[in-house]
Amino acid sequence: MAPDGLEKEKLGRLLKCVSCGKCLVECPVYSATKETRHLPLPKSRLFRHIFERTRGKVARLKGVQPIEEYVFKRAVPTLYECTLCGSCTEQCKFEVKPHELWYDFRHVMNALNKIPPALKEAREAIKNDYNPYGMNNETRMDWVDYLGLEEAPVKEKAKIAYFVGCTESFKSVAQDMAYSTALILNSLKLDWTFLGVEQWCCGGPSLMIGDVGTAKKLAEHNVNLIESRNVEVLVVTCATCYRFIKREYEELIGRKPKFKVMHGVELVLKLVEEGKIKLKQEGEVIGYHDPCELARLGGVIEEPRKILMQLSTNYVELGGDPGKGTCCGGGGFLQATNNEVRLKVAQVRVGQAKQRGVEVLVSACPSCKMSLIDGKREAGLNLQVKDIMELLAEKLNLI
Amino acid sequence: MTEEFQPLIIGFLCRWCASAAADLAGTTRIQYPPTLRPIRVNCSGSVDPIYVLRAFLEGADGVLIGACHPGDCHYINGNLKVRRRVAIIKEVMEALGLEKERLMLEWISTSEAVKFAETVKRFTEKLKKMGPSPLKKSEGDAD
Amino acid sequence: MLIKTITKTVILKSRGSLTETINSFLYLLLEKNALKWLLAPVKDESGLVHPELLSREDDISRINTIAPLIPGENMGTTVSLLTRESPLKEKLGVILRPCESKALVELAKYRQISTENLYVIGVECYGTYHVLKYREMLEEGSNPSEEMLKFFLDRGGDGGFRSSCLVCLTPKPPYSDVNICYLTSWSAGEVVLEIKTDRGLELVKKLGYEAKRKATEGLLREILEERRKEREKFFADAKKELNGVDKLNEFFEECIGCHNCMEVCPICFCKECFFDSERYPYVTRKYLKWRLPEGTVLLPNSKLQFHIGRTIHMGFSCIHCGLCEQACPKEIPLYKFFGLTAERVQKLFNYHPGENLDEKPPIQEFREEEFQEVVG
Repeated sequence: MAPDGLEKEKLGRLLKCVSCGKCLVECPVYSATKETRHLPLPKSRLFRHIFERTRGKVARLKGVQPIEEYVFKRAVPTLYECTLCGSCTEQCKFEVKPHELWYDFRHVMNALNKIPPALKEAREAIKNDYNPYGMNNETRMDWVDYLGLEEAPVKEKAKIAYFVGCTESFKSVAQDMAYSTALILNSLKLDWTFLGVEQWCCGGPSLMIGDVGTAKKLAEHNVNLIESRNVEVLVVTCATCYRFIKREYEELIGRKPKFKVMHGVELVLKLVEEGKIKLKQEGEVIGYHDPCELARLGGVIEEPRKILMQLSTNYVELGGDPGKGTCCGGGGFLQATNNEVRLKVAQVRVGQAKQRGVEVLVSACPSCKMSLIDGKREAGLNLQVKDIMELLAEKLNLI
Repeated sequence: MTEEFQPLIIGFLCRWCASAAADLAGTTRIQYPPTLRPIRVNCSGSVDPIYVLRAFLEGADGVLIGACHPGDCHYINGNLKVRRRVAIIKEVMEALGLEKERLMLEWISTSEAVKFAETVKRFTEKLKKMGPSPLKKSEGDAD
Repeated sequence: MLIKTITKTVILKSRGSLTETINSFLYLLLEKNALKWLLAPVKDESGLVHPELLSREDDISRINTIAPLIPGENMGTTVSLLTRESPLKEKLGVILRPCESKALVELAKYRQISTENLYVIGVECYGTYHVLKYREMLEEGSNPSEEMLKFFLDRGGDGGFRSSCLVCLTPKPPYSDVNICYLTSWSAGEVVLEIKTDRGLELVKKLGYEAKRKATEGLLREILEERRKEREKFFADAKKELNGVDKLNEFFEECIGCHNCMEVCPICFCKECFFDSERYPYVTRKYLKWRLPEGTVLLPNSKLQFHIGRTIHMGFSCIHCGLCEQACPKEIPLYKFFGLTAERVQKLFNYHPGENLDEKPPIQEFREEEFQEVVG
């Protein structure tokens, strides 16, 4: 019964929490629902309860104790109705790093096979089909035909490879992002390639579900595939893929991958600065929504803003410091666990944009785009939601 | 166009006594003000402080708890329990400056239809003098 | 509530620092097998203390009993976690400050703690700091324990203690087997162990200590008088600040409804709480449908219902530890509210929470002839 895969250091952090409550203030899910089960601290209390009974004080004093069923019943909604946005970690003053603990907690729950049914499906889908949507992975590149992309190179060797995330490949709302990115890469006559149907899911979703084994397998496969094509720069447009490949792969596969990871915006900004792309300013009111995985957790904050300021004379911040905005609700498999909650969170974010008079709400992640569109529809607000790559392709007259 | 203020009273009436007394008052046509909204409870001892508080916050001007006389409780001592609880609520209300007179506990047995009507009348008069409950005000003030 | 006459005491001579002297006693407890386990506040590398379970005497040096801090959880809650389901089979000593021992007593009354094989070693406490303030002090390089002792000797001002500590009337744990006292005696280089029970006497005899009768010191009595006045003033001010609906709404304006004050409250031990249930947010939900999508807004109503409802439910057992205030992320001075209401209710029943295991909580008993004035 004892949860395995928990490192001592992490549990030490769990016990360091002093319940000061600072993490509660900015929680996007709680601000949207005002239901206490969505707060960070109830999660850590449940996690502590499980830990104390299996390895901590209670276990030492009385032997390992079974975990009561009510704990699991409560843990499922608290733990999984969370977007893993990391704002709790941002607020924490005591180095507890709560959101990393939620990953570990999910790992424990997965080991005990107590995860919600929707996540079980996704877990099996990733394991068998190498993408969380349960689609046949052979159809990963079918969007190229649907959208009529004329030039879609899949080369044996190339300097740049474009890692098309599962959402961009399989979800029609997000396919435009991959299309636009391909058009931009093509227009610049760069030596680039798709990874094709051999590419697997980045492994981020597996980690969110807590299936570390599968995440490792996926990471190893992808790294080998990318390295075998002599790739120097890996371009991604999904914030989740970006963070996992850049920050987690090293730990997962036990060595540093030989390629550099760049988000689409980083690449475009580099090319703009080198003078290879010319942007011209227009007057629309543009607001940028920071994907949590890219900004708060990935550290890419200034780049998209620099691009957008060159695209519009009316760039506005959505409130708060850059990189510290509210989550859109699209993270952490919230859509699969409880879509209603996700829509509430998304509506808050879209509402914030509308309040500041934003006409085009831009993001840099397919989940954010989907969430913001759903939130806008739910709230009945009139504003455009676009991915930054789409916006760029439009402004460069490629679409 | 000054209409006289009609208080709203939420009554938690024990089914073994006060509620039956209310029925008796009805069948014997004893008149009492139409300010009471009776809620029948199985025992006055089952009235949680939250019910009382919630009634006030949702707009009641007064809350009446009708219980059996000491010693008559169908469940032996529910009425004594609620008396302690009422004492606690009243003390907290007083500490917070919330007019504890708006909460009333009265012993009313099955046959005391007249006492029941009198109690409602008395309570209504008292609340009329006190005016609308200030706790009502916070309802809907959502800025 | 004045200090009772102490029957027996043991004097510990200085072994260097104050913690070292106290720890020499704790060391013997484990070494002589008087106890199998110790639950004690242990210092971590950042200087904060956390409750840990120790069984080896080598670990004793990490204990810091005098650190003026309650980190996140009242230790009474920790003991409840350990003994709630079944009594202990091996002897466990817990080191508790006064409000923690009071929490233990209250929880034991509600059968959340089994006192079998449980030895309570109380520690004198003059006051504790807010955890954020404690951390600030560490970052500034000052030693909170020393600051606390310095403030005890100098007095004047509030020393930066938490508000509940400034009006605390129990610097010594009222319920314990042995009390570790150092406040008045340490200036003479001594730590005094007050033996409160026969079990405590047995414990120190096992360690080879000799217990002697000794009279009480007068200094604490002075402090108590000062604090009693402070307390009256504090609650009188609180009453003025919280008088009426408008003032209450203003007081709770910043509240985000996170219920953290409830989560850390040692008395709020229920596993299922009405305020976390589906039924509770009704007041909020009713209006939610009318609102623009800017997020859910908590109505003043909802906040009042939670706080007043909670204080009615647990106020009579409130042990005035003030953790609610420390846990409030919006830094609302919650102790004013909970302390005031709890004090009133406790006075009404002449109930002294946490002092005596045999004193029943007001809602566990009732008499036929009482509170005639609330009827009618």
